[in-house]
Amino acid sequence: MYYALKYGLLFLVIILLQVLLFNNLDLNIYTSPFVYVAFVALLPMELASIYVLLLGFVMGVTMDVSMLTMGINTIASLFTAYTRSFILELTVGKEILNDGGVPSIKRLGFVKMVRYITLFCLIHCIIFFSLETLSFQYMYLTVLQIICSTLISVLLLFFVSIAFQHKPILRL
Amino acid sequence: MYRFILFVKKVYVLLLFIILEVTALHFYTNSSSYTKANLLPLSNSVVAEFYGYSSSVVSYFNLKNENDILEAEIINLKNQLEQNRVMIQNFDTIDVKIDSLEYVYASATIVNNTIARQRNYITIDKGTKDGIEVDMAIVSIEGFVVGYVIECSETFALGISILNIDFKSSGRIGNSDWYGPIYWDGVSHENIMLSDIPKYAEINRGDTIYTTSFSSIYPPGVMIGSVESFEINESMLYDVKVKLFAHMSAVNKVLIIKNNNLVEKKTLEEKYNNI
Repeated sequence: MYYALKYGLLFLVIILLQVLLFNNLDLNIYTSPFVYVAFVALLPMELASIYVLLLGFVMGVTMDVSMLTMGINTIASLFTAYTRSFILELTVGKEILNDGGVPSIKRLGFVKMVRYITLFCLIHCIIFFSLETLSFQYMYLTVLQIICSTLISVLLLFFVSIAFQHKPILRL
Repeated sequence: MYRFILFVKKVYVLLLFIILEVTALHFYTNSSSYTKANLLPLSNSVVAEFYGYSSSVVSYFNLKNENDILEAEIINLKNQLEQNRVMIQNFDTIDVKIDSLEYVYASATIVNNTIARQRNYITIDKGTKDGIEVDMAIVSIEGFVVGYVIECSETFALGISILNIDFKSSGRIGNSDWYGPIYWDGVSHENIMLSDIPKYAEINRGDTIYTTSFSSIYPPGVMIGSVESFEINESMLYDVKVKLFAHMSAVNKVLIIKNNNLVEKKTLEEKYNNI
């Protein structure tokens, strides 16, 4: 129950952040900050994969409606949600994955956490931007978009995970 | 049968993933810029309402700037009015109804605008109850092309931005009357492309690009931008890089232009397009 409440709050905060702040930033053509990937990335590791998939789907559809992107967000976040267990296995190892818990620096260690969220964001950005352009004419542009957006998203995800792990003053 | 159920139980997550992913892909690949508009009533009512609140706060910070532009515009219009008065005095009575004008103007405020996507859209705070219709032109307050309306809800309207790879229009080079299609290549929010200009056309850097008279959306002679650079491509036609006059990341107040003859023109043209 406590978990459901906490993640419900995270869901709302992340949507507000993405829609009201980051979608309006328009830094430049290369960097699109995707803070919403944090929601799926920070789900507990022991959560059944069907729930991860469905929550990723809900998040993707919400973002598509707010960004008017016609399904690219859904495609990307569905894929990352489905492959999350493989990404975790690859970056943090089977033991930690089986033990469960919320992915955080404290739980995984700094290096493994960085590896995990970098791969997570990278996969998301590759799918998002290659589908958005759908041509090889501006390859260098797409690659640059992927790199820049991954970097900024990793940074944001890091902050979100730190804020999310912070013990609330009022324990529920 | 039991084995089959066991098998499904084993792979149902994968199956669900494939079904959802294929549905999303199907939806994405089959959506043209117009079918996209079908999703908009939903998105408009929820998101635009949302943006309406946030942009009403943000717009306070631009008030001084807006005032300066408006003042300049008022002076400009007063001067034109004076000129027209001189002309009108020659007639006894002039009865101008708003319906008989070819183009009608209205003002609106942008409540949401992106520039960083490949397909950027503009949401404005006027909708069907203010008389906004599909295919009305959106022009910045200084009179530069910004986009056009593709879908309206009751209180909001959605426009396709000039910075959208689906945006299609035509442009004319000011000094030499050569024209060609205009599109955005998705690279920079300050530039768009004008293509198919013959190699013997005379182009100079800094030439102004205007809208053409055969656009059914824009009045002829609306300024788009100026020639920044041009190069000849392999089919011996010029590709002209145009620097936009409108600062797409800073537009706030816009003019909406209605073409009263649009329906008549379209029905006439469709007669022969269907043959």
